[in-house]
Amino acid sequence: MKVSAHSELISEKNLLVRFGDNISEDLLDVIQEASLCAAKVFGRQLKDLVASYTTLLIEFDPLLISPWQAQTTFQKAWDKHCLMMHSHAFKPSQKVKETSGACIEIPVYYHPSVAWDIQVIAQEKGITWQQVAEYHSQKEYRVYAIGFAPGFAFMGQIDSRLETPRQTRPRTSVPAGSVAISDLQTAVYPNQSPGGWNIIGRSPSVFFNLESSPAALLKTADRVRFKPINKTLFIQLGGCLDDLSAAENTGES
Amino acid sequence: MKVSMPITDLLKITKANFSALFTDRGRVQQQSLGLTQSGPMDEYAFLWANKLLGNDLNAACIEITFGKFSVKALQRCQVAITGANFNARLNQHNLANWETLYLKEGDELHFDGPQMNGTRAYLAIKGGFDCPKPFQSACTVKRENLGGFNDGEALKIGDKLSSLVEQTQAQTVNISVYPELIRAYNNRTTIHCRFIPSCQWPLFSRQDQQHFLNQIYRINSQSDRMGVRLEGEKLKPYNSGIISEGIALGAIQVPPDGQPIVLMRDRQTIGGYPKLGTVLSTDVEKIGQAMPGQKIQFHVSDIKTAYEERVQRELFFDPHIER
Repeated sequence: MKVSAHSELISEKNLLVRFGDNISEDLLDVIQEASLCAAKVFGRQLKDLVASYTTLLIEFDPLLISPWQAQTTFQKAWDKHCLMMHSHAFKPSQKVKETSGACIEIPVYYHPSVAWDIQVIAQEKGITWQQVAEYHSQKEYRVYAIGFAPGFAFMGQIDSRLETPRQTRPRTSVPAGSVAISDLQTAVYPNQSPGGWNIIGRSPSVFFNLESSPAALLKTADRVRFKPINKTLFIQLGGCLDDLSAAENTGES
Repeated sequence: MKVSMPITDLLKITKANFSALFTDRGRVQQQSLGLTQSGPMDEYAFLWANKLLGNDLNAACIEITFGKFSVKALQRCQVAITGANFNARLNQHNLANWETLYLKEGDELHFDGPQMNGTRAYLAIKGGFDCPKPFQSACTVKRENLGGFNDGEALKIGDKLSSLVEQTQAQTVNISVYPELIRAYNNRTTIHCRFIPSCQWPLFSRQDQQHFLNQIYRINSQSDRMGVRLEGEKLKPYNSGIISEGIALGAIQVPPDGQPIVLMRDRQTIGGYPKLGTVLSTDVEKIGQAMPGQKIQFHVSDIKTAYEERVQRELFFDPHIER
């Protein structure tokens, strides 16, 4: 696999590295490799790293390394890294394999009383809401990026039979734990927040907690599965149902 | 740095009409969790507030937006004020701003509203404010429920403030910033802001590039610590969206409505709108002090200038910084 990187200095302390133009699982592993490579080569010169679908944003300390040095240093380190793997097809390093190998299981209560959009989606697709839950929980997903809100993980890709554009008018408030889809992506809202994605379930799990370490349940490149649970288990695991008035608003009562 | 001693309240907030937030140089190494870096909207004024008191440059200060803020001294303490001119007064005496002050018990420090000379003032205390530091930073970010005394909430009337160090009893002379180094922030004039064309800049049409450089924008009132929205003749972004990527401080993004947004301290970590480039980190603070309706124009600059100014800034405030 081609792993060439194109880097651009976008400020005196930010190097944006592009690894491709299309979202893919392979690229996800490449970017994980690149993150490790950057952390290793920059050491204490590194201020922050933001991995996304096709890019890695490297923030360095311009007092410790000039922008041009930073660019050359990374480019050289990455070329060397790639060269080592040049003899055969690109394989993720042991460390990337270890960190992204485990599959995290997320319990989800898929029911119209908490899944505000599941019936609308089912209707649009000509399937039952139970089928929406089934298609969503059948696949294993990867976390492609973290962003939008603390611990908000962009996961892909969902079954194309569920592909739904985001809502034209975002809701002002989406409950914590809401499992949602948008286009071919899926995510869980870690905290109550505004949001425009389509809600198809609710998880009782805690996705972001500053008391725990790490604070976020999910990180980039993780493997994730959603496991359907019933109402009793949802409540046992600490899940919150909507109050009666909210349930009525969904037309569920 | 924190010494064990009983917590001593030094100041009490007696007025807080708009936003007053704890801030420091930002929350670093946490963007992979999706946390914004945050930090002061006017870095220059923030750094001066700490430098005047001999504080660690990362000490927590209070950023006061749009003024209308007062504190009462419960005990003797030393503070510094910098940034926007809000007609600061100590009891009934007008203050010069950009100076240190000794407050004794019962003294009241008042900030009026904006005087068309900036929109954000900084209040520092000797030793730095003692406040919660989730993820090693005092920065208060409401949408993340982080920082401040109440999980992301702004400071409010009745809140009591203390310092990380004991306040010296001996009063020495107040010191102030050299007049030529004080920022005037005239909100009636046009802000000239330099940026580095980068990211998707080459993908915008030549016409749109010229258009962006030639026109004078106005700052939209729907602006905050996350992003400052501009109003002008619409650009036609070559594309409504790109694959989301990491965002640098000062990134100028163009959403589908064609009105650019400059991403500020509380920006999101990743975003999917095409970008024209990055405002110089030493110019971001000019936008941080802008008033809604104020005019702004952008000029092409380069990495070399940005780098030189950044190094100069850091060495000015901390000549002994480790390099």
